[in-house]
Amino acid sequence: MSKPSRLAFWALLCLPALTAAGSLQITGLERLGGAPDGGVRVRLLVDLSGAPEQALAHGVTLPLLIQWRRCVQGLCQPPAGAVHLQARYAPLQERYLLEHQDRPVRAFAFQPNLLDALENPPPVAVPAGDGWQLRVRLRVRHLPPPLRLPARLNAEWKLNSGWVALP
Amino acid sequence: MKRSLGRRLLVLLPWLAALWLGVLALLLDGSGTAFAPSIDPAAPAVMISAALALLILLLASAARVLQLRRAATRKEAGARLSWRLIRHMLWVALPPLLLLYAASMKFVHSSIEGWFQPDVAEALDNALQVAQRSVQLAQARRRGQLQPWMAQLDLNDRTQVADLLDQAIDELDALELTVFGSDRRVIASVSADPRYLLPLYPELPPNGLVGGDGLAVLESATGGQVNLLVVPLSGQRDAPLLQARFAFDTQLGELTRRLEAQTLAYTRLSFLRNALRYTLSAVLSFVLLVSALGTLFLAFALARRLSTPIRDLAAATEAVAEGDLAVQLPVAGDDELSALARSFNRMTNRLAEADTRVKRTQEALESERAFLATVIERISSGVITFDGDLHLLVCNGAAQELLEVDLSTVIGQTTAQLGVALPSLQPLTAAIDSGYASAAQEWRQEIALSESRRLLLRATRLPDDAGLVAVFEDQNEASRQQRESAWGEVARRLAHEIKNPLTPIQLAAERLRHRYLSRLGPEDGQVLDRATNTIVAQVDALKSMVNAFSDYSRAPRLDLKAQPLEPIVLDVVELYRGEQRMQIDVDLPELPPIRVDSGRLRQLLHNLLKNASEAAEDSAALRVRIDAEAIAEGSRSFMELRIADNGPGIADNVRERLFEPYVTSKAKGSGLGLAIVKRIVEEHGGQIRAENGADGGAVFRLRLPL
Repeated sequence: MSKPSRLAFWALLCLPALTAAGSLQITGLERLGGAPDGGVRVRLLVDLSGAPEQALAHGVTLPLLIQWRRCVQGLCQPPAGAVHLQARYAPLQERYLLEHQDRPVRAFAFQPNLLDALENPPPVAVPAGDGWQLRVRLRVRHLPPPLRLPARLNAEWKLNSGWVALP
Repeated sequence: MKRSLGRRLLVLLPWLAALWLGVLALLLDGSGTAFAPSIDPAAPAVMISAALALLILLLASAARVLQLRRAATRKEAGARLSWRLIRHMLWVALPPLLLLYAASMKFVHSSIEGWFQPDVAEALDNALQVAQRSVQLAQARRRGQLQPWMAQLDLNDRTQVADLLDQAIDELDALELTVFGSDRRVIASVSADPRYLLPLYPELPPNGLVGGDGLAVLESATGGQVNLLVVPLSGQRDAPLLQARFAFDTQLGELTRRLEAQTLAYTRLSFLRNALRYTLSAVLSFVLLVSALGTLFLAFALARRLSTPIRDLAAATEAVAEGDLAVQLPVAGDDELSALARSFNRMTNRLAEADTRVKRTQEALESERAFLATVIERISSGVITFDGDLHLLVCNGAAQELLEVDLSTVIGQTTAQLGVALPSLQPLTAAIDSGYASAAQEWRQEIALSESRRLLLRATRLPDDAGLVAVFEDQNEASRQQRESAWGEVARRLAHEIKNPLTPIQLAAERLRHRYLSRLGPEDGQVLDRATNTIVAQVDALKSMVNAFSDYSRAPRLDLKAQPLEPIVLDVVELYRGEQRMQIDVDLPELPPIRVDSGRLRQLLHNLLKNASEAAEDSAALRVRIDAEAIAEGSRSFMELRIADNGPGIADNVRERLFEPYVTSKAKGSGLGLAIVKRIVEEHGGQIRAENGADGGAVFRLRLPL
């Protein structure tokens, strides 16, 4: 293998790792004291820089999932519940839409407004009790098929908050 | 068992990995457009299993490469051939594979790019704008229709507002009309949907989106699309709002919906083309890698399959070269290699048969040679053979004894070298040289090695001048044998002619004495008595002599049996225990049994002891010592029996002819005792030698074959 070919090969191999990573973090979790279902207000920090942002602008639906599970003495059970969110663009109305499984569709004229709404989703019904953890992640498996492999390998698509314990 | 199972799994694992990778290569589809069953390459299980399978295949291939390189370095049979086959197979398989890969990549890129035409995008964009304009026009028309009604609304009178909305919903053919106050509370709402007795309070869009001109949105609803208009009732910031929903034209709404969906799909697809290229390139690269590794792996398997018979053949050829003719190759199938293996097996079978025949022939030759050597060794004549260049090849023991030299050290030397190394043989070598130089096939010559030793040489030239065989005898011995033969004949005739009248003479003499002794007077009687006694005694003496002659001349009828020597010796010695002046010491070690005729051997011992006794007749204290030992000379083994006495020894004048009849230095005896002894020894295939001992006395050494 010649030197340029070798360099090209390693560049291609390392490219996903060198690209800027996306970000999806949980910045705050707050139990709502008055909520009968033990609701939890989630505060997120969403950064769709790069490929996810462009995908959203070009009609790709970004499926998000809020999950919660319970861990007792280091032993975690499978997720006990989940809420699905979808962000997409509607070209006819030139609006960004946020679809919540339990709520009416919300439309936004600009992407920042959509991100604001994403960062402040409706409270989720996490049962009362100790040991609960919560996470928010992009559902790569529900992306369009051609996008899944790059999404698995490209750090820009690593939109996963990881499990965060409820206070 | 477990180890075997583990090893089998280890062998099977790369094949399973290759199989799984093959399935993945066939079914992986990253486009999402496959009609056939497909596997998502982005599924974590698929990615992990593919990576594991690739790793296994890589490791297995690397292990095989290293193994083959090591075998090639060690120059193991078939390794270099396998390596060459693999290289050739890769050379054959990889270029088309790479070409196909490059063409596929180019096709993927160009065909994906071909899906997206700027004209189509522009047309779709234009169509979308037309649809948007159409919707906006409809919304503007509805907004214009709302204006007169909005002007009549008195927000302070809820009833008036409600009545007005009732009229307006009918006249404007609206689906719903709602008025919100400044506090965004519903002042009044009417709905055309008969399913609801009470109008549904629609959700007000976020304030932030309501500008001075309000909001116009096309909503999807059950049964079609709906235009939602939110119009402020004044120009103030928190002005009351009129929200109206109008059914959008069904046909136009459906077309608009489809147009939006198709535009969205095209836009999305256009955006995804890079991702699609990436995914398809990754899948194609994966397929290329799998194909390359699979080709390498199959090349190893194929090379092993092809090279195994050749490796076996090489190893078998090596074995044949080393002399193993029993080697056979496994034959499977009906191809050229199998035919070669069959031919090789036939060849080795024939070689083995030929080798067996050669070995048998060699064994037969060896046997014959050994037989001939034994015969040559056992004959009393000296035998030596020479090759065509007169190199000494073979000599027997008799030759060495007759020549009185050790010829074993000069085997292979020429007659000229023999003459230099052993000067005493010069007359013999000169006779052989001159005879071989002549054209004679056979010749006889008498050779004088010394004044007292003369040999009679008989030589025969071998066919094709391959050498010669020389047989020689002691001329003195030959003369002695002739004399012995003559004596034998005399003895036989004497025994026959004399023995018969002796008994009648003896009987006649005894009858005369018996009849006339009593009739005669004392004087005549004494004469008669003395005369008849003398006749009888002399006849007895003649009988003894005739018996001795008879023994000497009798043809041997031996009753040979393997038996220990000691009892025979002790039996004979026991007969002499009564003699006061004779002491016999017997010292016989543990000896193997010997095949002898015990009667003849007793006679032999008796003759020797009697000879010793008669020879030392004047000695008052005769001592005889009998001992024996086993002796091995080359392939022959003997038992040597020694009888030594302290008598006067052997006189010089009789030493040479001691064993001939009537050669004796004693006053008594028939003169046949030692001749009979020699005859008995020779009957047993042995030899006898007489000499004087170092301390005086005679020593007889008998060698009898074991």
